[in-house]
Amino acid sequence: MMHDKKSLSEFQIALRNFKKNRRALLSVYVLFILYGAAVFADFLSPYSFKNEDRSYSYCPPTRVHFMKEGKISWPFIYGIQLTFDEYHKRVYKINEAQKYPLRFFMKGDEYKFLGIIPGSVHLFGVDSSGRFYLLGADSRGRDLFSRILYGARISLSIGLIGVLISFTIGLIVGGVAGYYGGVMDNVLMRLCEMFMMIPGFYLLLALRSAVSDKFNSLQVYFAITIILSFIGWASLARIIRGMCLSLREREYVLAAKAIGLSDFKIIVRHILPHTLSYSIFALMLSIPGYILGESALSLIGLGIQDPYASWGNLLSDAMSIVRITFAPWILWPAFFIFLTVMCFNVIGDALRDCLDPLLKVEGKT
Amino acid sequence: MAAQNLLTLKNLTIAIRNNVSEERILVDGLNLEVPPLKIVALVGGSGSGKTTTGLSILRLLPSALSVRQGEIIFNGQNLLECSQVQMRSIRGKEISMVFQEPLNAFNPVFTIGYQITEVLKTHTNFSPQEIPVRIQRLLKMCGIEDSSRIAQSYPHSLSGGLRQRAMIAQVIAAGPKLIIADEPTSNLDVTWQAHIMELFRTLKNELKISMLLITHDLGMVAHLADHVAVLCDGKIVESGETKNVLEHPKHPFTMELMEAMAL
Repeated sequence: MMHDKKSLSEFQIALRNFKKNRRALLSVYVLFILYGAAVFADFLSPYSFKNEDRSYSYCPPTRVHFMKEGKISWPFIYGIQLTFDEYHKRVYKINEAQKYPLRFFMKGDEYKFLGIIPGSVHLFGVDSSGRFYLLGADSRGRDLFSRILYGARISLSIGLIGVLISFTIGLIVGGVAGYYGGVMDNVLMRLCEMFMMIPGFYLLLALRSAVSDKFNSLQVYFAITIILSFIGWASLARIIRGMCLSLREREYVLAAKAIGLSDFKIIVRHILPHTLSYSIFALMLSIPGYILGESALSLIGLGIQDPYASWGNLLSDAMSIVRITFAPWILWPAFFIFLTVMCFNVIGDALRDCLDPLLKVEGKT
Repeated sequence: MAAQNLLTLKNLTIAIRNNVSEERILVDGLNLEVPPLKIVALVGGSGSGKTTTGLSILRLLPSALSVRQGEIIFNGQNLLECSQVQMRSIRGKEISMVFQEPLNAFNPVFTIGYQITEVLKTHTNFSPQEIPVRIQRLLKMCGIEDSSRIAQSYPHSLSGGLRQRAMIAQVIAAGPKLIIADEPTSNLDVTWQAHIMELFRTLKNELKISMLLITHDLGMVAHLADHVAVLCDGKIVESGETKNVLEHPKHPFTMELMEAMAL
């Protein structure tokens, strides 16, 4: 019975189990890199998201060369020129006469890091007379790689903020309905059902068209976040309510009442923490829904507007099969959406395995 | 009889509401007095309404049960007429409750120290620096030597006896006048039972706390209680000073209980 170590909390035990799951750990690293890239998008991208050059429309990805005349040299790229073949199709020709060495920590487009600190240093790029497209260019000759980085800011943060809002609403509504029961429970649950009754995507469209179309990009961003979380809270609230109905009968809730705590404190401190094992992985598994929801809205033009980038509106370029065959690299944003959604799902699954005590027992036998 | 009782239950009647059939009376016209600085035992078998009576004093009855008649007078104030806000300032501060199984009564996700802090923050004005010192004192007072380690432990990592002591430390944290102890020792082994009884006696003498002891253990009653009331099917069948009742039981149910003890 006597031990010198501090006893482990339930979450410390869960964390220890989580670390044993390699796939989940890998997903955590991938997400860490993606979110890091989104935060440092200004610095990591060679161009600003607005920097366009229409003479490079749908320019293919630039090849970086490491060898010059059979010798290893500083990495460089060749200049590219747009020409037309005999059928008047666009062909980009490499001009070996022009050579642009790759430069690191070079001065380029001005930016304000995270909207505060002004700067102009970019991790890599080429002299301004040449264009460097790591993942190709879009219709206006903007660098897709830079735009994906800037788009990540919107696409990745919308999931987190949306989930935060809808979970706050869901936990409070579910907690209150489950704790008080009776009339309160009835009213709140019927309200939830009303939200769940309407098919999500159409509710999304209706709500988006109900708010003004004269919003600027920041307002649109917040409008989308709020609309998405407005749809997401109901199903969580129902499950939390069910858990609270049984949790409120526990003796420690009675004990908490007996020491004179207020109802609010009992719900927040003594009941809701016990639903965390469920709600944490439910939270992880619902983030992809928000990312996809934003993508879907932006894809059909109701979300983030050009020139601002999100993974969804980058993909709206790829809605025509002709463009995809001509410039397949415009599908890159889809790959990043896929990667992110995949990572959140793997982490969510792993969290469920290590937080749910019932599954744990099954796993051992 | 004392001039002013700390707690008086007058004609307390509690019934269960049932949608299907007519209501059933669980506690029927119960009268009980807890004089200041005395330990009063409420004895009875399972289902006799002991715990229900205890909970009704704090107005914590489950929603299906309700008080039909009677008065609960604490310090000259009828608790049944108090608002919920008034009740909250009485629970834990004036009257607090020790539960039968401290493992269930402690929230498993918080440390013991945190849960005692909660009581102190709700009912006292200790500054954040004073609270840890106060917790150490409370735990030491309840006979826990290794108090800093225990304060950082989670309930599941302690033994039953230690948990019950920690529970008592939590219960006396805000300096209540009355403790309702609902079968505080029935899940402990004999040596711990003796320790807890000793602790209750010390608390009564040092902190001037009165007690309503709810139990079926007549041995404990004989050791600890000044007065005893025997409850059978929701009615008090016999009451008086412990010595008188135990040495000259009048009601058949009391005799039955004592015989069961002797086995």
